[in-house]
Amino acid sequence: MTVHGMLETTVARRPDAPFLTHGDHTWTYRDLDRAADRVARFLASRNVERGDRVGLLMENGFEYTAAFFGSLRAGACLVALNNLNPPESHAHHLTDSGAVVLLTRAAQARRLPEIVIDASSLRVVALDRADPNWELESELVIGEDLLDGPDFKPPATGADDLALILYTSGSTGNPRGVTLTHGNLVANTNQIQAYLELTADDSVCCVLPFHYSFGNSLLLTHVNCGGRVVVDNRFAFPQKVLETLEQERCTGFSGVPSHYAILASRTDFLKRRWPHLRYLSQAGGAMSPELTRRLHADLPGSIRLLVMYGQTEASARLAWLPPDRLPDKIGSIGVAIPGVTLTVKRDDGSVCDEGETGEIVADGPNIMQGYWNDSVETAEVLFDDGLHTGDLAYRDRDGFIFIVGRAKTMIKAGANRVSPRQIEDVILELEVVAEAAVFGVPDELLGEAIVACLVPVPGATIDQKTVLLHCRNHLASFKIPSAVHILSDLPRNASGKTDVRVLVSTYS
Amino acid sequence: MELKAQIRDFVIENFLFGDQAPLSDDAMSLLDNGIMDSVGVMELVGFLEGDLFLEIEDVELVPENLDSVDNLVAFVTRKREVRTA
Repeated sequence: MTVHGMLETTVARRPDAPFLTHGDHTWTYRDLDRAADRVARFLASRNVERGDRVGLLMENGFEYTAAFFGSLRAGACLVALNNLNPPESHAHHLTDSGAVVLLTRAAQARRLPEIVIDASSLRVVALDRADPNWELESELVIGEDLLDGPDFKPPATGADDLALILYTSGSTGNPRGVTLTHGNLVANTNQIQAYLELTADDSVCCVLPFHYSFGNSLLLTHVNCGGRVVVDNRFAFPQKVLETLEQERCTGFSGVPSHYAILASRTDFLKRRWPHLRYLSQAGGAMSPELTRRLHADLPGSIRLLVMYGQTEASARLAWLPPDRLPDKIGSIGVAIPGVTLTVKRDDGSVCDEGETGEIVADGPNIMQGYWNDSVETAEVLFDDGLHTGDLAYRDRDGFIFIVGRAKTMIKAGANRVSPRQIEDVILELEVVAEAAVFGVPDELLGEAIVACLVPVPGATIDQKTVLLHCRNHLASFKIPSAVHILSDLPRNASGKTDVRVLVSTYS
Repeated sequence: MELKAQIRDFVIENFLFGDQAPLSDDAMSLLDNGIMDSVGVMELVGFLEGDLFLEIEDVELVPENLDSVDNLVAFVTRKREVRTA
């Protein structure tokens, strides 16, 4: 089975069922099929072949899904780009992946750097005509007549073909492209659908971007079961999302911890009744036990709260906490989802005893193939026994897993995995900075907030605002430190390295 | 300080770190133009409550009130009028 094969199965079964609602408009599965066909034919007419990479840079909406399934139908492997990232990172991901086409919207295309626009090897295609001044190719406009042309014969893509590359922060600071096959994504879709018990009657309120593995899993699971995705990109104004949740009678809502922190603190979400809501799911980092308890206590018993755990490298999902065990296992990521094996292991590869801390190792058909063109980073996480997640945990007497820390120095800010090294490198671009240390501290809203400590070169001065402005110009908004401290020296450990533990305890 | 200048100052200092250029128009959406995100909205509410001494109701967290300098000025002005009425 392929990812676009899941769509084709649903179209055959429920062509007129609602697929996606955004604002006042609802599209059916037949609409999606036709639009995806148009994209596939367009790409084929431009000589995109099986295995070619196609970039996708768009906010959530119908066009994104048409471009997504159309590209797969054409045999391409998608490179889904985070529209919150600065333009220079798009240039890196497109170049690194060797993308031959970028599907985007006019407003986003306008912000791309010249290195992308002028690249002879990359065709930039806007899927709308929102900007009449936009001079790039915009012949592919979703919603207009289907492209005429020679008969299109979809290539014989199979489960082992690459379907998706998602870039994440790497431990060295350089982004890495997680490569996922059709087989990986289909397997994880079926696994998730099974434990969520999703059916064609379900409709999820989606505030998570589709380019993020959690958002992507919402899209794929609902396409697979023939349910509906209700897109709302306005979570900055959470009351608007609650209106959508109510008006569209959504049966599910999925979010990261900061979504639930905002819903609990700045809306009447917990005071209202939600007769249509069947479940809430949470992933993307650890939610505080206090907030989990509050959600569980204040929500009607008819709404299941599903705490989940995963990684982009696992297509999305690895573990879930069955809701009936939530009260006595708060703080746990739960147990492996069906088809996945999770083992807590010592450094020597042996299995930890009950209560002993080790690294979570995951195995299953949803585990990635490796990082794109990066055998060194791949060899650090993929071994014969599976994916070494970098998360340190122990298993209790009932087999439930509790994460206690990370083997690697990554920050989880909001739902985003952030490399301290990348931020340090950006700060060190400032000539007056001699040393920089970036780390995470506990934060009620974000899980972890990013803090930067730096030491100026002797005789130089620098202020926080200069550092933050430089970060804003070179980093995605979620990577900008919440606080910058200017020190005369950084604390050292016995081996002379920066003692991050001292910094974390000082600034927590 | 005039209200609009006070709000512009907050946006420029907190979201743009002193760089005025991206805030080229007081009617522009702070959200759509990448000036503010969902966490930023919470910081903005903290500013309205902490520095301007307003009580913000949950139902008032909507773009019509908060998503541009002009909307913010109109919103704060309305809130102040209600308070003094």
